[in-house]
Amino acid sequence: MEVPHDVYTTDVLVIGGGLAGCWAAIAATRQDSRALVVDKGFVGGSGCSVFAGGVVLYLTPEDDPADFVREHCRESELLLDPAWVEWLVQANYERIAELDGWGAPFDRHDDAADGQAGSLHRRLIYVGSRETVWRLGLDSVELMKLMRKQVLRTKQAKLLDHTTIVKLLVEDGRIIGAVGIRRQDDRLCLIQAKAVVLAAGGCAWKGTHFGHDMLCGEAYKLAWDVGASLMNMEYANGYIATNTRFDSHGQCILAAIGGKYLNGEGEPFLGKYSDKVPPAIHVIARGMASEIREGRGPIQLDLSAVPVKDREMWLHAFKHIAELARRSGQDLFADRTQWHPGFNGSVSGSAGVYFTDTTMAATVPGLYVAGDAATRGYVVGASSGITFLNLAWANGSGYAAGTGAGSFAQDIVWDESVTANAEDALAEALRPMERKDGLLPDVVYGQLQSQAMPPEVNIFREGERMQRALAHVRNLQQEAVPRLFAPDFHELVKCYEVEATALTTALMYEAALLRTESRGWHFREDYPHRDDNGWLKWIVATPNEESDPSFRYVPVPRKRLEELGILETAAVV
Amino acid sequence: MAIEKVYEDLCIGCNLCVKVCPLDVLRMDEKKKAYIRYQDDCQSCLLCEIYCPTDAIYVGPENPREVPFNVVEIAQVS
Repeated sequence: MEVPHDVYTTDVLVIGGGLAGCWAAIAATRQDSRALVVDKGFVGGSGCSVFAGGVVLYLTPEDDPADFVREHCRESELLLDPAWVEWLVQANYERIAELDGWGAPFDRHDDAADGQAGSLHRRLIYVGSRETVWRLGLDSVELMKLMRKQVLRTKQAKLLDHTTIVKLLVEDGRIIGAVGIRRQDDRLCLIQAKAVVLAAGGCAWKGTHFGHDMLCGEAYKLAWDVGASLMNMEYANGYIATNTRFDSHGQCILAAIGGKYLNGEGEPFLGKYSDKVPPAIHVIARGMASEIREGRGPIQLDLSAVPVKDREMWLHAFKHIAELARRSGQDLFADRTQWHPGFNGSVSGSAGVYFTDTTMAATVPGLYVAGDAATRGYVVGASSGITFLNLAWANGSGYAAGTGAGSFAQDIVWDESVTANAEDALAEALRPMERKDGLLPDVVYGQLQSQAMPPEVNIFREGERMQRALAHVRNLQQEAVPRLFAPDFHELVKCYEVEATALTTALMYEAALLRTESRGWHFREDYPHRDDNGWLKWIVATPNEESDPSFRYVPVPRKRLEELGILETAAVV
Repeated sequence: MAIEKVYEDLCIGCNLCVKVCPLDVLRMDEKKKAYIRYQDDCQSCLLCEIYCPTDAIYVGPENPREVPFNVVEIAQVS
């Protein structure tokens, strides 16, 4: 059967049109490669960068990064590589400088008197214990409009909106293209490419955090299906405080400028869980959940002590959140409002596709990764990069991946026979539309959420509870996924979201069951202590021939951590 | 909850909201006006409102999703 589809050809296919994907496309064109950026939604209006919390890390070459790196390694509970953090500081600086030249919507000095008018105005805002983090405020919606424009300005890059890639094509062990769904045109597409950059973000399980419902782990699934490895999957379980009445963000800044969380008895409680003010993000989430669990909920946020100038800063940086609060009838600064841990998965956590060097090459030739799709294990370890480091990562890794893929594509000789074996893949992509008595994707997605989101399984982890959740998810993969039914192309895309999130959930629990210690987001009631002797290593998952995972361990470079003075040289068992 | 209204008299049929919605909630009808096609998928992110040149859209803030908090109940339900 002839499946209705369009054919596109490019050198580098970039999957995902957020900050990382846009940088990847720009970088690829600078290697004389053509680029095609596709997004499930709108390039520049999808993924999490357009909904980012308005701040990005900004250290310049004049700064000594040593204090930041040391503090950051402690906050990330040592499960990272300081050399990668140092690389990121520099790589991000180069991109910010370029964005500055394009007139990007960063906070700028408006005081002409000191001769700095118009120059970048960074601020020191405490987050967690990191008192050395210089950050630059920005308008993420406007920044992403600019990125879309800059991609088009290269003349060598094209965009394809509302295009969901559902399968990567491989020939002779190398990526040769992809099959996608153009949901607004009721058609499929076949894209021939010499290299692919996966920049389609992480997995947020359509949780209760602002603006992340399109992130369903598709990048992990695409990579896994062609044999690529994933890392830090146990760290796909981020929770960030969110308002109970609407999906929000910005709490990290609120907590940093004097916001106080109170339990149901009206008492501040975070001091019980950490001596840092404010505590690390994962500690805040666990503290909130603990209070609720022990009958001292609900949790309220009291912002009455926030200074007026900081209120103005927040209301400016988070104007859309402030508007949603207003529409929900809440005055965040005048009233105590109710908050809870909102699950946003690997958008906060560091799970992602495995790579080993700054070409951002995955373990399959022709496949490159960037942004949240790539593991942030090397740079945020066991904690979160949300609020300042993830955007920096999108900048640095996006540009690096585009450079890697663009350069790789230059050595590939075009093979016109590529489309010959694609007919089966096209027909396969439409399969869920043929099962008239099948299951609608929303029903199955809800089942996945119920196994991943409950704090009692995923904030307070424990072997048996995770085994039970894993068994349920494995059952859904075997029994429900093959019966998914899509009445139209919109629902067809959601069927693939279900598949991707199911895989992500299963791998998350598989890895979490292996890590028999507690560190950062990964807190196990049956193994409550951190074990630096046994567990300073990352877990890497690789699919076998049946697509089941096999696991191996990659050690964290202890030597650098010892040199920084944050790891005892002769740790005692 | 979610996107509530596209004001037909204000909509100029520019298609921007349909393009920019990350979750494909909006589509164009046969009269070339945007309409809410998949309301259940809306995440109240406001992008359609921000991009709309004539202020023809209103998005409600409420999150209708429950956060499941008790794993025992969940296991029984499923």
